[in-house]
Amino acid sequence: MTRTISDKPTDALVAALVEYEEQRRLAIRREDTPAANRLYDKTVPILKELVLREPEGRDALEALLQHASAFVRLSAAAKVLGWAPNKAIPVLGRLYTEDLKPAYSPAESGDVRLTAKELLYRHFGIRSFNPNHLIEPLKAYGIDWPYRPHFDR
Amino acid sequence: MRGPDLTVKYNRLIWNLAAERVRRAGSGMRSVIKANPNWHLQPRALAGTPGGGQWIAYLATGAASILPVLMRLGPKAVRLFREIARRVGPTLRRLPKQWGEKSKFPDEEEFDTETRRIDPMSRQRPGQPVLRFRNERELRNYLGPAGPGREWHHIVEKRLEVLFSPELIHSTDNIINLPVDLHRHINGKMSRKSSATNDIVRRFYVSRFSFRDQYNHGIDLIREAAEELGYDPDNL
Repeated sequence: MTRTISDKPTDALVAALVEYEEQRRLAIRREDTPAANRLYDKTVPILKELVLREPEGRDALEALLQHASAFVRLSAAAKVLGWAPNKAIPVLGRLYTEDLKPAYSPAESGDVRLTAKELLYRHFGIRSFNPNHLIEPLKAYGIDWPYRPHFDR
Repeated sequence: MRGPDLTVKYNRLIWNLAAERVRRAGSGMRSVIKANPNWHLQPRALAGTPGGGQWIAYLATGAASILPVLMRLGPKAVRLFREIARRVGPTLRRLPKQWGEKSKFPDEEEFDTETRRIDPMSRQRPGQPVLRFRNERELRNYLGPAGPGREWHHIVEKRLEVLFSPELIHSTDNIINLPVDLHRHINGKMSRKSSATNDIVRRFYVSRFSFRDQYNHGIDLIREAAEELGYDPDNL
């Protein structure tokens, strides 16, 4: 009999999430957008289920903020931002500001950085799409990010 | 003992009986399939008309009967419709459009010459006049080919010309000449889903924004993608 997501233990959901995120990363690396989107769709119900499981699901997501994979950290931070922004914002800030290459291809690092940046835009209410406007808010979380003049040109 | 002839006759009889059983089973099946449990709902021809009281065909059968007529009249109708569109089209195009109001365009004064943004957000192509065209063909005729290894990229997507005015989409402000790999990279980003786009494809998420927000998003996307691929964002 097939088990639904709500029947599965938290550990199994976390393992499935990590596996899907890894496959999605590889799909983005080979620029297979349909596959990446299909895999993203598989992560959505898992993340929703983990958020609903208090406290062990949310604890598991917070633990994933330290995961080795930037994709896993990003998807966990996107959810943790909802209840613990103080934990999620530094992770998102580092994902945006740190150079993920050469471990990640330009497409992979670009996907992570863009998503992290836009989650921060949304959280701080920045509508200008100018990353220089993130400098001050991120400073409060201990992340120094140099001013990039070409974004103001 | 049975001789060989008798055995053959015996087998032939067995086979004939089996074949007859199959035929009768098929006949019964045909009756079952043909039976209509809703026979009382099937329409009948009106009394006083030819064949009054008789069952008449369902709509599907009726549609099938008019199909030959449609096939005969279809090409003529298409030709007639094309001719009407050809004659009426120019008049309709001259009519004032809802989106043709001047107030919907960003005024030239809105562009800040220092930051090259529209109010706090949008940017203008520095040092270039803004030319607006009615459709993409006119814009591309004006611009010419993008050049080897390069492609024209709409900053706000051209499919949104039904939402905004075509003149706003097909303007020299909204199109940029990019290297092919950078253009594909940006298109890949626009086609992907993410948690920042509410779990939908980015281009559908962004299309809910105002023109100015979409424009600024498009510029930001180009600059980030250029940095990632090692291009100088100021000199694409």
